[in-house]
Order: sequence, then C-alpha cells, then structure tokens
Amino acid sequence: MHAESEPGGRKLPTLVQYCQRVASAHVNSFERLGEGWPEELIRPILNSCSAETLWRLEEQDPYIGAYTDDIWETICQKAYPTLFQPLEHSGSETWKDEFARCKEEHEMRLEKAAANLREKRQRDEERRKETSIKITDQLPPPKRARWGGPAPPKTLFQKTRSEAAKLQKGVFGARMARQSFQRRTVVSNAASAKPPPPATSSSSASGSRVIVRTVTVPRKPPPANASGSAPVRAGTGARMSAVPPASIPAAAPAASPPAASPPASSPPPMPKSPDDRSLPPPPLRPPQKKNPASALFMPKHRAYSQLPRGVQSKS
Amino acid sequence: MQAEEQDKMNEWVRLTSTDGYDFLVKRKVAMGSGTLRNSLSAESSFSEALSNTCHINERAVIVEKLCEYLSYKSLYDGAKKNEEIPDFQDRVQPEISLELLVAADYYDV
Repeated sequence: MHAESEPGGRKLPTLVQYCQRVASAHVNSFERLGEGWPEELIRPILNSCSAETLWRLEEQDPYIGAYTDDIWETICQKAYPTLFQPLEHSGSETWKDEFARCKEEHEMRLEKAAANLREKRQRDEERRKETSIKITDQLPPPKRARWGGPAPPKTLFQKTRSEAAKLQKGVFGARMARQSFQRRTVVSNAASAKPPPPATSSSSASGSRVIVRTVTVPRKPPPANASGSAPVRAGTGARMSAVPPASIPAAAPAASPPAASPPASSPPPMPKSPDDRSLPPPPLRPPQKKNPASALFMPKHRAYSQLPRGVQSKS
Repeated sequence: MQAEEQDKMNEWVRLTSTDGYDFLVKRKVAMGSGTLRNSLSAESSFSEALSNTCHINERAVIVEKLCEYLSYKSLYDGAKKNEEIPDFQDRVQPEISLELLVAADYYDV
C-alpha cells in the first residue's frame, strides 16, 4: 500500500539514479556544479567526465577537489599510459599535479616533433623550388646556330626558277582563297603532308625547295604554244603535279593518267600538254568521285617546314 | 480500517512550488516519496498532514517532474517481470538533471 514493493515485483530505478545517469551523459556540457554537493551524489557523475571538464569544474568549485584524487589517477593512466609512473610521492603531490606534469611533457614532445616536421618540409620546399620553373625576362640561348649560313651563290637559272615559283604560288592569302579549287583536283594521298615531290621536282626540275602546290587554274588548258613561258609551264606542270603518283584511281582526275605515268622521270611537261587539250577542261569535268575520307587527311595548310618564310634554301 | 485507509489514499494532496504553481496528486502517489510520506502521515503533527498540502521548495518545473516520477513509480512499481515498462530516463531533460538530482535526493524519491 505504501511505497513498499510487492514481493516478486520489479524494482524501479530511483529518480536519483535516473538523474545521475542523465547528468553523467551530459557532464561535459556543465559549466559548474554549484555549492554543497555531497560526495556520494556527485561521484558517479564526475567519474564519467573528461580531464578538461574536471579541471574546469574544480576551478569553479574547488571543494570538489577533495573527492577527485582517484578520478585524476584514472584519467592520468588512461591519457598518458607511457608516462605513467606509480607515484612515489610523500603524499603531497596529488594525481592532479601528476596529470598536469604529464600533459606538459606530452605537449613539449608534440611541439618538438612538429618543429622537426616543419623544418624538414621547409628544406624540401627549398630544394624543390630550385628545380622548378622560374619566371624570367631573359631569352633562352638559341638552340642552334642558323644553319642557313651564307648560301652558295645561285646561278641565274636557279634564281629564275625560284622567282617563278614564288610568283606562281602568289600571296599566301590569295592562295587560301582558292581552296575550293584545290579540292576539285583532289588529291587523295594520305601522305600529302609531305610535299608532292617527284611530280613537282620533275616539272620544276630545279632541285629547289620551293614546292609548287596545285592550283587549278580555271582556264582552258593552255595551248602548247604557251609552253615557252615559264610561269604557264609551271602552272601546267603544277596542275599535273597536283596528282601525286599514288592517287586512287576513282578519285583521279582525267588528267592524271598521263601525269601518273613515270612521275619520277623528268621529261618536260610539254608532251603532256597536247593530252590536256584532248581532254575536257578541268572545270567542266563531271565532279569526280571522291573518297570522302580523303578530305580527312588533306591538310589545309602547309607543313610548318614548308611555309615560305624567306629561309635561304640549300641548293 | 482498511476501507478508511483506501479512502484516504484516494484523496488528493496538493504540492505547491516556489513560483506559485500547485500540483494535485493522489495521496497514494505522494507516498512514493519518503519525505512526503512523513510529512503527510496522519500521525504527525505537521500542518501538512492536516491540510493535505505540502510545500515543496523547488521550482514548478522540478515539482512537475517529481510528480511525474511519483506517478510513474506508483504505476509500475511491483510490476511483473515480463511487463513492458517505459523508460523514464528520456523524460529527464539534461538541463534540469542536476536540480532534479538535488530534489530527488532530498525527497527520497
């Protein structure tokens, strides 16, 4: 009837116990305990608090220091097991002091290790900086001396040839505008990055490094009587040379067969001109079957080494 | 005699707090506290026994929690082993835990 529990019944935890449990769980959030706590009430709570919390609570209410010596012992053992030595003191030094000492020592070691690490890292950084890329405003020394050098004097013939070639290809920009024509004459040579050599060299026959690229001249095939003039001849020859020897038959313009025949040979282009006449002029040719893949490999621009940069050529 | 006791137990007692709140609980429930039991016992000459009122020197928040626990205790104390009992720990807010601890200790709850 009263608060006595019936026999066989369960005993509930008391409110004191409940409160202690909850307080222990949250003790690290407590700022201070307040005055007048009896030890038996507060001990279970203090047992479960961290070193910082215990320190703080003792600062606020020093009287609890009376009950906390063995708590400090436990804390010390757990935190610094390596530095732990059984207290051989006379009783004047408490575990709290021991804890403070251990903490200091630990911090010192940490600081030393950190300093070492910092120093090492700095040394590594400096070493790395020495080998890293630096910003400077000085030009690097030229890789190699100009290999052009004083070229051997050109003969008149060579000069004429090179001038004609330069005229032929015209201004860079003007040449670009005629790309579409270039397509027509089609060149499906995968290796067209290289200068179409043998055909060209056969027509220019100068051994000069000026490569004449094809330009389809949209005019009637020049009659053989014009073959006397070098530019026209070069033009015709150029047209011929537009078709490299290895062209795909399907893509080859009608003019190719004659040009394809021994390109390496150096007969003058003159015999080819009559053939030209017999054929329909290029612009009126039916559009050739082009291998669409050929466009992939056809570079629009010259290779870097082929660009006219006024380099003195070795003749 | 027993019937009288029973009737008495069904009476309401009033627990007052410092900030003006009153809580009414059955006497049976209030008896869960050792201190209150002593105060309210008919045999004592405390004024509380006569007026069925007990002044508790705590804030209303704490008194309310005390009453809650007393009810919980009277309900489940002595329950069979296989009965499911809700946990009271969740009902104790950490903010009041220390104050409640003091009160619970004083009132022997």
